[in-house]
Amino acid sequence: MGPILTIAEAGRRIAAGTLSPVTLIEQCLARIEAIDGNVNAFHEVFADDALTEAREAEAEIRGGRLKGPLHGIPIGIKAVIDIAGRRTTANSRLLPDYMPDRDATVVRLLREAGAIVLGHTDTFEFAFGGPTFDALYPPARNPWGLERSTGGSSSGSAAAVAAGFCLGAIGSDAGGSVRSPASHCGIAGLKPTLGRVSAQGDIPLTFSFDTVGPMAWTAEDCALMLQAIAGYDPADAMSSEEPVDDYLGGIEDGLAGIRVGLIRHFYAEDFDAHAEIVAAIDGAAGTLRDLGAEVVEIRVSDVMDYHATGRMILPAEALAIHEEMITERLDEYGEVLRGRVALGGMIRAVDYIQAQRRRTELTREMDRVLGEYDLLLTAGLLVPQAPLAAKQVFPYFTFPMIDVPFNLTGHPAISVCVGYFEDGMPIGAQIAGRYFDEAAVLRAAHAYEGATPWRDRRPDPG
Amino acid sequence: MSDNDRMDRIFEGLYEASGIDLPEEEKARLRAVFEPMCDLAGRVRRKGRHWTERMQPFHGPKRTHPKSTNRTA
Repeated sequence: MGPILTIAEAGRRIAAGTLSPVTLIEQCLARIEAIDGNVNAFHEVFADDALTEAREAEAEIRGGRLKGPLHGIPIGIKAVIDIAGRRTTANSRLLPDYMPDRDATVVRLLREAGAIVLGHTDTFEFAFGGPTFDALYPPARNPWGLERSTGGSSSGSAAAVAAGFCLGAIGSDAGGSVRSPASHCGIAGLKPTLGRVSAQGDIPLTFSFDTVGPMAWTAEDCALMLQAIAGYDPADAMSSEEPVDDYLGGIEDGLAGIRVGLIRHFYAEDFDAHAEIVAAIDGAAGTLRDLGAEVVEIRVSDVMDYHATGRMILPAEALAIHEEMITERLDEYGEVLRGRVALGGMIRAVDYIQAQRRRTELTREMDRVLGEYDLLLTAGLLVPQAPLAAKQVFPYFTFPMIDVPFNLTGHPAISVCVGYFEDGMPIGAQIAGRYFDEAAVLRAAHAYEGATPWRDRRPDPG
Repeated sequence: MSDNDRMDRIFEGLYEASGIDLPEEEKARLRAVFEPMCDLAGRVRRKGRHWTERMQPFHGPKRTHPKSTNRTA
């Protein structure tokens, strides 16, 4: 089936004429055919279209019409994101036949950059209910341990990248849904600044937080994808007109002189995270220091304050989106999703508004800190990957959502692999940055990955 | 009325108002997390918060059309 390449390496080989996009797609399809029966990363694989597009890409490249580093690169798309003429089910029995007539903006932009859309990847039901066995499709399994959770909700995207079924994938993130599965599956996943990437065509979970972002094996690959999908979109009311940076130009510039605030109390005091997680994040801080960054332990509000605020806003908005359907078609909802959506009915209007006011305060606090520090570092997960069979309808009353602070504040944040538990499962950390400074976030993550051996290890889910 | 009875009444009122009719076991699970959820609701409040502290997102309207002009000569 050939080696599993990064987007950057495959792009270089395609540009040099030493790798055919057809061969690359065939390798991915062979891997999916052989292994995805174990992993369940894809709902649907568009094999015929992908091969046709790969042949077209090959002809274009041979004809001197290389579109860029994504030309011929296979990408998976989370099944809440519209693909024209393809069933976009949100993994729900409520939407088995929903077929958009046009691509989501992010899909259109990927295609324009020459990427090949390989298929729809698994998602928690409506990006909210999972992992669960009563949705439309079975849950994705973690390639590092098939009986363990992938995290969510962009579960299939993370699993597909980790298993080498595709070189990159698109996820959506309203409460950690890119970064959590990235941390659980040992890949890189970027939640851009709110409004940096269009969320048009993303089946909504919330009105306040929905963000679309790239997931790949490395931060550099996330940068390559972000370069293609970032930008203003008048079709998305949240979209920003801020100019798009060059995310690759300075990615090798390193960390000398960069100030990093380490939010250690999130995982070592506010919540007593697993000891191996604490050690891994502390170790990552040391590596950033070794790379020339000034790393200073800082304090912001308790992670439970961020968590509480997110827990008021997210289910209330989800219920507003689902109210008509859930009251009329309750039986078609999976048990986990209907419980989580129903929780939104327990939140009073005044609770929701007070939470949005708390969000204002927390955003101000975090942004003030980011005036002093270029980047922030904290954990990407607080507990090891749960058994897949453990039905947890309300896990957030057991432990806080560690990714939600940067959903509330809207700052960009990436999850990167910072090591492994003794049992071989990956551990993730978050690096967050200033508004629209994804370049600094990606540069730091790239430097970290280059200084550590974690990218040399791949799971073997076969 | 005990605290638990009071919480039962609040829960039942909100539950009824939501219009969602969960199976009994799932309703019981929702009831079990109602107090922890109320604790979180308490956490988003701050004593002495000034009334000018706005909820997010906050914005004023932007001009979407040009100013009208008199069309008569």
